[in-house]
Amino acid sequence: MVSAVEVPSTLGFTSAASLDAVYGDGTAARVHSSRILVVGAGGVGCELVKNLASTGFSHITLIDLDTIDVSNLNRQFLFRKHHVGKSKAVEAAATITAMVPSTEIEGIVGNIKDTKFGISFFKSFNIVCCALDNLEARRHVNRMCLAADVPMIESGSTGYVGQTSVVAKGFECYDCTTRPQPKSYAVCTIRSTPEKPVHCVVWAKFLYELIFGPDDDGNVLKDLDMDTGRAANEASASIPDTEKTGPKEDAKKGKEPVKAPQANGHENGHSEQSTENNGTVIAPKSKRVRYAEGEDPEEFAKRVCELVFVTDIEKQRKMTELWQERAPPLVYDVGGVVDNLSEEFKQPNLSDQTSWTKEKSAVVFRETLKHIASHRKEEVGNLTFDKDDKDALMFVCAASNLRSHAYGVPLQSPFAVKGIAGNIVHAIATTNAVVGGLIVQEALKVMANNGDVRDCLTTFVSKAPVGARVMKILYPEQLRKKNEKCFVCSKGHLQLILDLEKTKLRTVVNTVLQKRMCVLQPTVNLTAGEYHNTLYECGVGLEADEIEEYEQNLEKSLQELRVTDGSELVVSDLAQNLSCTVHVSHASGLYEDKAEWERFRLEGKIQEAEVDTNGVRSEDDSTEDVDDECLEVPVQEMEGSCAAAPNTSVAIADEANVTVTAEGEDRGGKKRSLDHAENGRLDGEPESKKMRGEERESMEAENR
Amino acid sequence: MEAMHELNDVVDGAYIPQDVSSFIRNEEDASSFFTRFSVVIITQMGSIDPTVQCISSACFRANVPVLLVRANGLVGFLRVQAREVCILDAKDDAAAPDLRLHSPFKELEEFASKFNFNEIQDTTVLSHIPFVVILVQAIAQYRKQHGGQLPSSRPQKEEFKEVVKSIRPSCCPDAAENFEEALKGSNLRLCYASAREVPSSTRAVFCDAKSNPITVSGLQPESCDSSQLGRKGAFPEAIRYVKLSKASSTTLAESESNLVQGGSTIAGAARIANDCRVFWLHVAAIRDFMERFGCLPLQGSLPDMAADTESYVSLQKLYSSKARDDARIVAQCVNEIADRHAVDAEDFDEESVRLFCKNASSLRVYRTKSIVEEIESRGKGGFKAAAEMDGALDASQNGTAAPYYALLRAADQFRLEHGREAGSVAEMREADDSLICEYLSAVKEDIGIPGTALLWRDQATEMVRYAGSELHNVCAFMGGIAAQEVTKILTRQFMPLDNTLIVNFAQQTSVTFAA
Repeated sequence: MVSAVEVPSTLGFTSAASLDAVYGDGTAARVHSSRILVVGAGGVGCELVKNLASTGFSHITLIDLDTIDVSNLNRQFLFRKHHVGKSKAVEAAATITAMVPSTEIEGIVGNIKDTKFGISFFKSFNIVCCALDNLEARRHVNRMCLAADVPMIESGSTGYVGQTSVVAKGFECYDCTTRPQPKSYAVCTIRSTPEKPVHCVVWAKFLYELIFGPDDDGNVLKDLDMDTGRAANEASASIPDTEKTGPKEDAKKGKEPVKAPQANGHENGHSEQSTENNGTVIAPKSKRVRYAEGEDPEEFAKRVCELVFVTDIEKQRKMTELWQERAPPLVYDVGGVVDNLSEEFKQPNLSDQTSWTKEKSAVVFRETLKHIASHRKEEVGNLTFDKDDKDALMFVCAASNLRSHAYGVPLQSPFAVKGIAGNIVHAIATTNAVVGGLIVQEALKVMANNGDVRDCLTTFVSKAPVGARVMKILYPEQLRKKNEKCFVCSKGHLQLILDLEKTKLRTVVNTVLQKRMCVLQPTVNLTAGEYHNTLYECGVGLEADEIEEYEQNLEKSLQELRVTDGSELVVSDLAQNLSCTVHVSHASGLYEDKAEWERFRLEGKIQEAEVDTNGVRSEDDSTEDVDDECLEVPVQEMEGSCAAAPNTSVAIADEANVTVTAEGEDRGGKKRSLDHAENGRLDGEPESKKMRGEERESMEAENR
Repeated sequence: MEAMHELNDVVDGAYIPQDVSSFIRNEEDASSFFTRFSVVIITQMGSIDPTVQCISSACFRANVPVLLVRANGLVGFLRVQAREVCILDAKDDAAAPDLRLHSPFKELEEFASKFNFNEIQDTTVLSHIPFVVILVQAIAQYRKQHGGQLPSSRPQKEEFKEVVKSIRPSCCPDAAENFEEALKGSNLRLCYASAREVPSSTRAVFCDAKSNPITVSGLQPESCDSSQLGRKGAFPEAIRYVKLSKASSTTLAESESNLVQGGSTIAGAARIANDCRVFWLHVAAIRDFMERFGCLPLQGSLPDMAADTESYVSLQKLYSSKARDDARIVAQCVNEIADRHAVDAEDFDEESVRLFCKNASSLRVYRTKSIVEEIESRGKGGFKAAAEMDGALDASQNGTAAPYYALLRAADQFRLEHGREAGSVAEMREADDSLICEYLSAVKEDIGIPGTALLWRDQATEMVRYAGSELHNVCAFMGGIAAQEVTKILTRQFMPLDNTLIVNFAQQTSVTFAA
């Protein structure tokens, strides 16, 4: 790795001599000549590339698929206002070039999960740094780095806490521990069946951004924005998320070309309903809830009230299957509430701790809509919920209370709503700085040891000095040996329990393999006794008839595909260099009370005494003991159970503490005795929202 | 300054392109110059540096917080110095909700007694009685049996738990969340005798001599000689940074017209002093309330719980109106004290009183020793204990952060005497190494660290190897931490770090202690 190239005396802003002095001779040369990949150009990413370039890393490749959002500017300091809308990777690279001209930095707009970033791409780097904010991409990069045998430096920053760690062959990989499922609300809870104030508050925040915020297809209330007729048809099964994504996407695409702000006119609930009655699938003009330029604020307020609290509720009421166990929502004519409330009501005290009545909420809701439409016109389209923005808070408070009223949920005071709504773990610039510093420290240790990770550590950054003996803010830990049962790095086996008769292959592929196991392009081979067959394959290079056959297989039940109790499925993904054996067990009628795609259990299976031929197998038996306990816990249980190593304490936050990933999440499964409830549950955002505006708490409802 | 302005164009910055020691020669200079700031951050200077000592004493006297932050090789150091920061909201996550279950007020008791569990037939209604009501009834029943006492011993607590279980009607469904909530340890605890006690961290504020409602010494102006403050000294003018417009490059003469009028304001120290006075005024009034009623004013918020809308809302109203009543009593007291001590009425109003009452249990006072005192105390601070706990006094232990406290001092001593960093000249590294060891021995003796000359010998070599280099990643890390502390101090939220942090990046170890 040592380059023959002469090392300049100053690398970045650091002198080569001090690098050599501190980290050992040759470090500066290696730093100068090594190639480093940084995945993610968000809050940590900005800190990281700045530090890397300043330290003297001269060949940096930066990948991010996202564009710059206004909300990023407060901490992603490589970007300026005029960069908004542009690529994070490209702009960050340009800023770094201006700052440290000696750095060769390439910004790539792309998804790291794209097959074009294959193993040979990863192999071209000496170090890979993850500054990601979602679980799936991390798990993918983890696999790629293991396959390419490149050390990966992992990081996370959320609120006041952060962490860094290093993954390399032989050591614990990202899949060795089970990550708790993200704490999120089922989309249907938010959309159709709220039970607690927090559900209504989350809903109200979505509504606020739907009406005044930037376009966001991830908004769970997006269907309010669409042709109601179409939305009603789709929603009739009340099945959210995966099943619904398809048609929803179509509807969206179908409408996109005709989306023109001026076409909005004065749409009100009636005209929407007439559309529904006519059964028109493609609306002649865009039906957006959002405020359209030129619209009369009064009309606008009326229209929104009607749509949200009358039309939509009526639609919800029609889904009778939802209301067998609970009372259907109440229609409330918000627009028709007589405004006989005093002026004081219109200017409510936001620290007020008395709950609002529904009348008050109705008046405030209307007034806030009008107010924003008439006084903050220029910001419409760019507003995102900010708990310190008075109008935003009033809106959310009023809207959530009206929602609560409809669904029989206790109404809240503005103060309480602020508490619930503001309960977001924000991305904090100072934590990013701390984490960015630590990542480079690990990178330098790898450089100092010529690519070896022996001196690397996993480090947890705590919120405040903590400790039984000595108060510390950093909790370093030796890298752990790999988990011998890990299905990614150790050929561990998994056990899948489901109802063979009722489960389709599609569920297994989409939910079990792609979602739970993060396999991108799974190939599924079946071994049932003497019978062998390839059930599914995807990717390029398939014949047309193969594609057709596999498509048909997806719709068949496992039983039809001759999968029996005790069968083995070999799941592989060439791109990820992954191959894993999944043992299938039949359980008749498992989890019938759950949604169709949740009726399975995936567990780590203790491998039968069998010598692993993989050369890197550790001889250290003590790690076995450590990891055994992990396996007692089902690897994936829906309720976010967490297979944690001994003396690991994973605090489970209560519902009110639900948060959204900030710059990224912590590796909750490894969290040790640091008292941060929010920590364990920030893993993962839906793929579509990768690296998106971290400020947007709206994500909490996603991903189910 | 230009880069900073680019990062955030609302930054109003001014600079003095000179070595601080060239115009701060003594404590008086420092007094006149630094007291205009709300916080002072000193970077890459050692605590034994004479200029740092001048600034430290001056700012300590004027109660302007100081942060000393530095990076030397793989070692990071941060020291916060503040004579008194009055924290408005410590954001203590562990704080229990304030529901007054241990001593229910009249309205709460009346409300709770309206529920007769055994008469309610509807199980839905039954399972939506707020747990607060359940516990208020349970505690009333328990008290009746125990001469008005609250459960305090273990058997008593067990007994109380049984009482709670016993008032659950048999027809109540098993899944009734409200009864489960009532039996939750954290909620049962709200009824114990211990719940009446104000937590020690809060009590410290109300036991402080400054909060005495009679004397309210917190209202007295502090011993800082106001004639010293804002004295126009012979300081170089601070040049306000003005963004150069693209069209015309501003000449030096033009930018000089934007000079800040140096030394004319005392905004920083005066504002801090006033903030403290307002703080102690309110604290004194709340203490008065506490002495009269035996508890802090009610916060007035109600946590989420299993309940039907109506009773939840009624309860919520009950609590918030009681909180308002309590705040009103406190406000009266604030007025009385203000009258007695001629405090400007602009400094408080109903709103401020409400806020103080609401946060009463989160009020804190943060105080540190001054840096000068720390040096003079010769190791009487928390360092030795922390080092011992950390295992740093054991010569065989490696990788702890604590030794660098002494080593940074040794390195500073070296710099003071030799005008350069130890190890900065490759040829002299060996000589530097033994010199640093000598300084280290002196420092160890000074701060009372026992042990052989070998103790921390390896770290001394590391220090020489680092040669005062500033590594970007260490700087980024320390900058992040320091910025966080500044934010805490200026917003008066959260407790600032107490008060020294040392990070050893070689092993990613850290230690904090009150030096």
